[in-house]
Amino acid sequence: MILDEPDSHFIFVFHPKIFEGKKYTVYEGRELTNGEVLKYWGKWIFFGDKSQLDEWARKLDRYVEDETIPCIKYDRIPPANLGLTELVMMVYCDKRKSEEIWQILQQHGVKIKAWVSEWETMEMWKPGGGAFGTVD
Amino acid sequence: MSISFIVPGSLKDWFGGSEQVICEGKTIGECIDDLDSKFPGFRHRVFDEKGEINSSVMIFIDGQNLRLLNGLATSVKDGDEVSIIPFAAGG
Repeated sequence: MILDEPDSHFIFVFHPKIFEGKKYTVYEGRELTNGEVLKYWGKWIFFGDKSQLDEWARKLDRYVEDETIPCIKYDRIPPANLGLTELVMMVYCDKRKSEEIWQILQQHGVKIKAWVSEWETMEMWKPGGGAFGTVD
Repeated sequence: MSISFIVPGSLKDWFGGSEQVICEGKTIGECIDDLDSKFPGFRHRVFDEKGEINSSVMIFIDGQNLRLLNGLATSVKDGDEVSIIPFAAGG
């Protein structure tokens, strides 16, 4: 289901089970431990304008509903505070499922192939990381 | 060997208005040199003077982050696709 709340910067595509307290960080139907999330969790990142990402969200929703794709998140407006002029869409999954999900994305016209792990994201945004800058 | 470089629309000016270009090379470094000859200044957009990846971008070969591979010396093979995205988008 597409969760589009106007006050939120992000639009999400979640399985309804999220509202029953289930986690989306799963592999083969099993919830990952925190250690497994750091080891395996990540996302495919790509770009587009609002209409393009809305269309992808609608087309990919069925893969979220059948639990092939665990979660999708995308910007409502370009994150100008990060210096970006396009909207970013992130399709989250376990690394061990990432190629299977990439095939789906490619079938729907995604060309940028960029996998960023949760661990890399944490490294980027911690003090001293590339995205956060250096703390003296 | 033909290698494809792909960028999002916001970076297409780097390639004269195209989001995808083809280049030649056996390593990322050779590909960058080839692209720099076609699109002057490209090398400095993606690598600094020390040969490190520019902090403003992330580069991926077949989805794998080049920072986790072998930098400019990373081998590429015919048909590989290299994606470049703004660093800030990776969070």
